[in-house]
Amino acid sequence: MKYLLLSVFLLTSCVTLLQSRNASHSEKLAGITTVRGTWLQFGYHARKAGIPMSRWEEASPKIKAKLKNKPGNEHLSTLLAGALYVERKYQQAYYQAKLVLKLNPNNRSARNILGLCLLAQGKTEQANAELMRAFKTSNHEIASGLNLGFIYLQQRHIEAAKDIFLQVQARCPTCQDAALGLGISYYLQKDYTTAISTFKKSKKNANILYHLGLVYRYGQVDLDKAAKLFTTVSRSRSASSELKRKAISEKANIDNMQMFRYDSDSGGNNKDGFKHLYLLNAPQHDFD
Amino acid sequence: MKYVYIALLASPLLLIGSSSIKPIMPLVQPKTGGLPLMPQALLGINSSLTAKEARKTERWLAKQYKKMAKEFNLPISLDMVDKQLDLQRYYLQVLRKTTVNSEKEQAIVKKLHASQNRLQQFINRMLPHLGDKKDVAKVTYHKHVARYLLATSNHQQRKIVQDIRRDSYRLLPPALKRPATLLLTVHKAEKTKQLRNFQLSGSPHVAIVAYLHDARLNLKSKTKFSSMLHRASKLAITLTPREKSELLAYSVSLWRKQASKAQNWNTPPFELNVFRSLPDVLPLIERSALSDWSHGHKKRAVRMYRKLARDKHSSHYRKQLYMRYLRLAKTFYTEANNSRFYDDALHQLYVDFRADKAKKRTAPLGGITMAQLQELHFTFMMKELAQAKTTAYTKEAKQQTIAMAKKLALTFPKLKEPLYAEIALVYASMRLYDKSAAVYLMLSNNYTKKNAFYLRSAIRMQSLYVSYPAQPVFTKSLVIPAKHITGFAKLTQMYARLDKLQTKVDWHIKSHYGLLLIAAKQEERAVALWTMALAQNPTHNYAKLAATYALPWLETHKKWAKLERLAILLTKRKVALTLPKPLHVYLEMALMQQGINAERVGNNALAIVKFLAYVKLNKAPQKEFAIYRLTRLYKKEKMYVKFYDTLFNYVRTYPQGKHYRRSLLEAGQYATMTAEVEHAIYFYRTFLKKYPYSAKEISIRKKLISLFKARGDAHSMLTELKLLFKTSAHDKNKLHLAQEIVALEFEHGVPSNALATINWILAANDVANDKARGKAYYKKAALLIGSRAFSNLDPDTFADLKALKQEIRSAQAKSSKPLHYNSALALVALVNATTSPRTSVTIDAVKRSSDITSMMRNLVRNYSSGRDKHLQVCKLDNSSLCVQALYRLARFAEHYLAEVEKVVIADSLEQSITKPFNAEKQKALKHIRNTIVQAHNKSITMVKQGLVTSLVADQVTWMEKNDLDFQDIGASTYFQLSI
Repeated sequence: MKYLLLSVFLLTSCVTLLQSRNASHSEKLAGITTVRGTWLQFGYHARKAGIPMSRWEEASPKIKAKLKNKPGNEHLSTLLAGALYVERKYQQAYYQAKLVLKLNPNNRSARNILGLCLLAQGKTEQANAELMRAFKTSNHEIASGLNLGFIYLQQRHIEAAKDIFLQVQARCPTCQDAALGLGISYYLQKDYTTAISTFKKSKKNANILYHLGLVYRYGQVDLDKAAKLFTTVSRSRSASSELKRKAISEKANIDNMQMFRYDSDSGGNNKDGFKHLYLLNAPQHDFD
Repeated sequence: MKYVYIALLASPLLLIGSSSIKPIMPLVQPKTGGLPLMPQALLGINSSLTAKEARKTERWLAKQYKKMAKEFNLPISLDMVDKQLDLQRYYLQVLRKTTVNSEKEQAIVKKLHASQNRLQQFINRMLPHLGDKKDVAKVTYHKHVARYLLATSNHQQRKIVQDIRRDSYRLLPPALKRPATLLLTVHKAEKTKQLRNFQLSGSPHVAIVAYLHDARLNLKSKTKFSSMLHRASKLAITLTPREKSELLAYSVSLWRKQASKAQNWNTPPFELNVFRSLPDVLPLIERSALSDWSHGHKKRAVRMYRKLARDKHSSHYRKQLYMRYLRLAKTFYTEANNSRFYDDALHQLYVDFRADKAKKRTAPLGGITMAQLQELHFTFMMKELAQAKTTAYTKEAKQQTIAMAKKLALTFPKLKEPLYAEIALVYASMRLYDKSAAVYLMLSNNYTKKNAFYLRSAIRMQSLYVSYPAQPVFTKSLVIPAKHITGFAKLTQMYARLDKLQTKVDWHIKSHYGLLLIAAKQEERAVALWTMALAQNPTHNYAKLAATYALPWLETHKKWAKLERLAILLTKRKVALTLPKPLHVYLEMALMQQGINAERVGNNALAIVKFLAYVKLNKAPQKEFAIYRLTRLYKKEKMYVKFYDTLFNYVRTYPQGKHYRRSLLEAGQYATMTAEVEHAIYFYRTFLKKYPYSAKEISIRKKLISLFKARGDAHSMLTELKLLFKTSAHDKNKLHLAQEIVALEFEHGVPSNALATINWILAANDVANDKARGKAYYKKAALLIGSRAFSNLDPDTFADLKALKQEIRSAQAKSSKPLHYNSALALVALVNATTSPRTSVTIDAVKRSSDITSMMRNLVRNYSSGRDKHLQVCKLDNSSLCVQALYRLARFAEHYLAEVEKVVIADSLEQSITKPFNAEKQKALKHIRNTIVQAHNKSITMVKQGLVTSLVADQVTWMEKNDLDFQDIGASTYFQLSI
C-alpha cells in the first residue's frame, strides 16, 4: 500500500494539465485539480460558493468561516471536504463528504472525496466501489475516473483500468492523464505499438514523453528514440526536477549500454524504470 | 409743540374759566377813518387792458423808468402817462375781483401803490411841458386821483378833493367830470349834511353812501341808526365783494362807535346774510359764539367755532379756531362730566381733516397735524380707560368708554394694540372675563411681537372665566362643568398656542396644556406632549408629575415604543420618580412587548433590536426568553453566525432554561453543518448528560459516534457505541453496533473487552448472519491467540483453539454460506501451521544413524505435513492470512532445506545405496527450494497487488528486506490480523 500511494504520488506529481483549446473540454477540465496524485473536481462548487481555486492547503478556515453563514451549504461543504482531504484529515474529510452525500447523494465530487478517504484508510474495495459510483453518476465525471484508473493500474487490474481510461478519454479527449493511463495500460499488456500510438496521439507533455521513452527503452528496445526522448524531457522547462532526474538517469543507462555494448542483443534486463513505478517485473507465479 | 397743545388743553379753565374770552379774529377796520369812500366805483376807472397787454405795458414802463433814472431830463410823453393810468386802472379792476385778505390782493395793492407813485412822478415832470390847458386839467385830475388813492386820512382826502376842484374840474372831459362831481358832492355833503338827493340817482353806490351818511349822522338814535345800516346792507347785494367788505367794515366801525360799551354781538344792526360770503363777517360770528358761550349756550358756541374754523375764509385763524374749539369742547365735557362730547369733537376734527385733504388744502385744519390730534385723542382716551378700570365709573360709563376706545382704534389702527389692551382690562374690571380673553386673543393674533404676552393674559382671563386654577393640579382629575365645555376648549387651544410659541420647555404651560387635554379625554396627546417635553427637561417638579402620569398610562394603553423612549430618557437622566412600579420594569416591559409584537407581524429586524436591548438590561427577568427569541429571529433572518453565538450563549447561561433541550439540539445541528466538530460533540454530549432518557438518545449517540469518528477519537467512540449498544433494541442495528464495538476494541481499545460482544453476536442467531458470525469467530480466535507469539501459546490455548475450531466447523456445517467461516478457520489453521513442529537433526545423529534414508524421509514427511498446514491457510483465505502463511511457509521450508542438507550419506557406502539416497535427497531439496521461491514470491506479489491491508503489507515487505523472523513481529502485533 505504501508503494501504491508513493507511486501514485510520483506519477501524478508530474502531471500538469494543459489548457484545452476546446471550450467544452476546458469546462470539464476547469474544475479538476491534482493533489498528491489524486484528482479532485471542485470547479462547479467553487464557482457556486465564490471561492477561488488556489492554495487548497489553507482553504479550510476560509471555507469554514463562510460555512458559518451558510450552514449545510452543499457547495461549501463539498469544498470543505476536499480541503480537509488535502490537509490529510481523512476522517474529517470522510465525515464531511458523508454529510454532503446526505444532502445530495448525486454529488459526485463528494463521492470522489469519500472514495479517496476510504483509500487513504486502506479500505480499497470500498474506495473502488465509491469511486466507481461517482464515475457513473455523470457523463461529465472525470476526476474519479482518473483516480479509479490509476488505482486499478496499481492493483494490476489492467483491463479494468484500460476500460476506465477509455471512458475518461471519451469524455475528455484532451485529458493527457487519461492518455497517460491508457498508454501505460497498453504497455502493461505488452501492446507496445498501441501504447506508442496512444502516447503520440495525445498532446505532449514531459510526463508523456518520458513514458513514451520508457516504452521505446524497455518495450520496443529502440534505444536511440528513447535516448532522444529522455534528452528532451531532461531539457524540458515544464518537467519537474524529479522527472528530469529520472530522465537523465535513463539516458545515462542507455549511454553506458551503448558504450560497453552491454547485453546488446537482449536489450538489457534493467527494467528499473518501470519496476519501481509499476512493479512491472513482479513475477506472476501461481502455486498451483 | 404737542406739549404746548396738551398744556393748553390741560388747563382750559384757566382760559375759558376767566371772566371773558378774547376773540381770536380781529374786527374789520375801514381803511380810512372818515366816510366810506368807494373810489373805484365812484371814480369809474375802467381799464381796457388784458392781462397779457398789462404785462407788456409793465415791462415797457419799467424800461422807461430805468431810462428816466439814468437820464433825469428825459421828456415824459403823454403816452407814458396814459399807459401808466391804464395800468393803474387795470390793477384796480383786478383788485375788485380778488378776495379779501388774499395774497393776490396784497400783491396787487403793492403794485397799485408803486404805479401811483410813478404816475405822480410822471405827471410832475410832464406838466411843465404841456401846452393845452385841457390836457393839463386831465393830467392834473389823474394826479390828484392818484394822491386820493394813496391818502391815509380823511383830512388828506378832503384836501385832495379841494385840489381837484381848484385845478382841473372845469376843463375835464365829460367822461371824467361825472365821477369827479360825485367825489366833490360827497365831500361837500359831509359839511352840508344834504345827501338825500343822490338816492334818486338810481345808483346803489350813491344810495349806500347816502344811508351810511345818515347813519353816521344818527349815531345817538339807535333805531334810526340801525334802520339806515339795514337799508344800506340790503342794497349791498349787487356790490362786488370788495365793495361789500368795505361797506361792512364801515358799518361795523359805525356800530362800535354807536355802542362802544356792552355790545350785544348776537344782534348786529345790519343784514349779516348779505356779507355771508365775506371773510370780514367771521370775527362777528366768533364774537357771537363767544357771546353764546358766556350766556350758557355752550354746545352751540362749540359748534359755531367748528363752523368758523371750517369756513373757507378763516384760513389765517383756522388753527387757533380749532384749538379754541377743542378747548371749549373739553371744558364742556369736563363740566358736563361726559367724555363722549369731547370724543365726538375730536372725531369731527378728523372729518374736517379728511375734508381738507379732499379739497387739497395746503394746511388741513390750519396746520394741526394728524399726529398731534392722534396724540391728543390717545392721551385723552388712555386717561378715560384708566378711569374706567376703577370703580369710579359705572357700568354704562365703562361700556361707553370701551365703545369710544374701539372707535378711536378704528380711526387710528396703530393705536389699536394699546387701546385694546386697556379695553381688555376694563372688561376684566367689569368681570367680563370671556370678553377680556377674546380681546387678548385678538391682540395675540394680530401682534406677533407680544403675542405670547397677550396669550398669557388671555389664558389668565379665560381661566378666571371658567374657574380653572392657576397652578396645575396633578393630584386629582379635572372635571369640566357642562356650561364651560366651550370655555375649556378655548383655554386648551390657548395653551396649545402658547406652548407652540415657547422656544424652551415651560413646564407650567406644558402641565396645564396636558392636564386640560386629559380633562378633554385626549390623554394620548397629553402624554405625547409631556413625553416630548420630558426629553428636554425631565427634572422639573411638574415634569416628574407628568412622567408619573405618563408611564402608567402608556403601559395601560400598550404604547410600548413611547414607553420605551420615555423610560430610557428618565433612566439616563436619573430622575427620581414615585411610580407604582420601578422605572426599569417599564423599560423591560416596553422592550419585551415590542419585540414580541414585531415578531408577530413579521418585522424581524425590529424584533431583534428590541430583544437585544432587553437582553442588555441588567435586571431583566425574562432574559432567557428574550435570548431564545433572538435565536429564532436570527435563524429566520438567516443571520447564522449571530444565531449560533446567541444559541451558544443561551446554552451556556441557562442550563435550566425552558428551551434548553431544543437549543442544545439546534446548536449541535448547526455545529455539525458548519463542520465545528468539537462544538457539535459538546452540545450532543451535554444533551445526553442532561436528558439521558430522551427519545432522541439513540439518534444523538449515532451522531456523536460519527463525530468522534471524524475527530479520530476511538476511545470516546467506543464508549458511545457501548452505551448505544446497551440502549438499542435487539435488531440488525444492534448487531452492526456490536461489530463496530468489536472492531474498535481490537483497533484502539482492549481486545479482551470485546469478548462479551463477540459472544453476543454468536448467540444472536436471529439477527446475526453467517458473515457476521464468521467474523465474530475470527475475532474470538484472535482473542484466544492474544498478544503472544504463536510459538508461546500454552496448551490450554491450543485446546481452546481446537474447541473453537470444532465450534466453527459445526456452525459452518449448519450454515447456508459456509465460506464466511473460512477466515476464522484460516486463522486457526495459521496458528496450527505456525506451531507445526520443526524437526531438526544433528551431525552426530546423522553419523550415528543406521538408517539415513528413513531419517531423511522422516524430515521430508514432517516438512510436507507442515507445508500442507501452511497451504491449508491459503485454501481457506486468499488474503492477508494467506500471505502470512506463505511467508511463514518459506521460512519453514528454509529450515527443512537446511536440515535435509545436513543428512548426508558416506561416499564410502555402496553406490546402490548412495545413489537412490542422493536422488531422493536431491528431489526433496528441489521440492523444498521450489516451495521457498514460490511462497516467497507469491506473498510479495500479493502484497504488491494490494490484496492485503497496508499493515500486513508493510510487515511482509519489511521482513523481506531485513530478513527478520516473521514470527517475532507478526505474532507480537496480533491486532494487525484483525483487519
